[in-house]
Amino acid sequence: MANKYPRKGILGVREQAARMRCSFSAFRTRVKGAWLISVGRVQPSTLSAAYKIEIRYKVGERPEVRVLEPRLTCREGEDRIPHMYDQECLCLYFPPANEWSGERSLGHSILPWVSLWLYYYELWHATGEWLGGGHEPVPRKPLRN
Amino acid sequence: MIGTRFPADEELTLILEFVAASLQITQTQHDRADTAYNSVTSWLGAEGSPLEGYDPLLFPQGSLRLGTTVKPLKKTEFDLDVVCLLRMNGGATPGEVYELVWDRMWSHKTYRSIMERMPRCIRLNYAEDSQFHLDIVPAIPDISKGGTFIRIPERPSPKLSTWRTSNPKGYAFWFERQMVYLEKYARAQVEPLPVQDSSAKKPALSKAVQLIKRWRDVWFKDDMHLAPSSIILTTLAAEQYNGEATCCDALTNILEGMVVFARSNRRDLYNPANRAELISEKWVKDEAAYRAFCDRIVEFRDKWQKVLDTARSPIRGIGDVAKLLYELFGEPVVGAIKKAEERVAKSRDSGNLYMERTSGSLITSLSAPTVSSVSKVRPNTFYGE
Repeated sequence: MANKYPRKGILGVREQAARMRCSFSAFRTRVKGAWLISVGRVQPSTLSAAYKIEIRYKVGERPEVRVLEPRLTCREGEDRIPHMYDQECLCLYFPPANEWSGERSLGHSILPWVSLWLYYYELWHATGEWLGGGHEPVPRKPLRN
Repeated sequence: MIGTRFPADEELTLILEFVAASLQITQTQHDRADTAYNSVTSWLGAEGSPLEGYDPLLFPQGSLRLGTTVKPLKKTEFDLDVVCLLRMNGGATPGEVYELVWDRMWSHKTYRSIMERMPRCIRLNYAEDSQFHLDIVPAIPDISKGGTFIRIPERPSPKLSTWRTSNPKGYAFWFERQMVYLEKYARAQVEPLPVQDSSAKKPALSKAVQLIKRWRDVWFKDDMHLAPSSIILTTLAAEQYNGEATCCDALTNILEGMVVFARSNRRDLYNPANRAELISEKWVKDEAAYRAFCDRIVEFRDKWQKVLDTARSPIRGIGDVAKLLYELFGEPVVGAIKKAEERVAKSRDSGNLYMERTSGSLITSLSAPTVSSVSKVRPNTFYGE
């Protein structure tokens, strides 16, 4: 039986890339093997810096978002930037809460969160507080082989 | 000043407005001051009072009248100035006028316990939670000058007293004319304190004056004896003001003008409402105070320019702007930035936060033409490992 409304499914990287190019033409989006790589600028507010960011995504994995420039810095007197994975990628959502899945378009879901993250990152520098809420990170236990 | 509009200036203005708002006397304090000086008026003019025949009239002067109050840096109390005008035709000595008001107040049990003699006024020290004291300045009309001119007893010691000419109302009218501020000033027996302006409605000039006074308090905190007086800063600011619509633009223009003034080597600044009154007496007498003003106003202008450059720069963020603003105005900057964030938080909480797709900027209010170029910021929980 033909389904008039096909079930929403996981979007492939080519489909994600096509959507990204369509809605976010200022981003340079390409597909390299199983990976989608998209680079562009996000300026959360007019007072903010315009950050060059990179999204790397592979179906079945968590989208990785890195800030290429200006480089993220730690606040004076602190040893880490809040809400990051290994001080490298941005922690944009809480995976167990199903806030994101591969059925969603990266541009429309992940990118606005990047803008919001960068906004709160700047406010953290300005005020010393992370005003964007979220889960307090749990210190990671050292991995053992 | 006519210049290119930078989008960043709008957000910077918002932060500055919150800084100015946090410096001014609160509505509650304002209402308390209003009640307090209405009570004093009733007591002085009550039937049977020795002052009854002089028809005492109280009216606010200085920053309270101009809407440019600034919370002191170290103390928690505001200095609020109120003139007590007695309709006398002269004949009395300055000492007599001062004592007349003093004695009448002294006969009131409550006032007696909070009164304090000051060289130009009678200070009422209200309970600490009021967070202000009221300086009652006794005065009589200056018949020789007429108009809104008054004479104030100056009493450096109980034995000495002289008259000083002043024109606080004339000054206020001048200031308001400078900011093209049309307000009907009710002539009443007791003139109400001007309605406390909400920050948004408050004229750009008043806010700029508050910021400049705050800068003075911060930058001269270790050598307050060198600090330029509020009337000097207010007068220079109002003279330079050129109708800018925002406190950000007003500040830029005023600081440029102040630097030009500082470079002119002029030490004499007169009260625009009383041309015979030199308000920069301190600069004539104290070269160090004049030099300190000249040097630091240039520094202020340079730092302010840096604030503007940083705000408009695509490689510098809010944190960099905040740091510079903090150096100029201190602690209230942090609160102001948090206050500005509340718009974003509110939109996010109600599901009305969007991101403009080309710039990646967050948008808190949507207008019809932008609907097709934005993406909704979906609910999320920042996490960390």
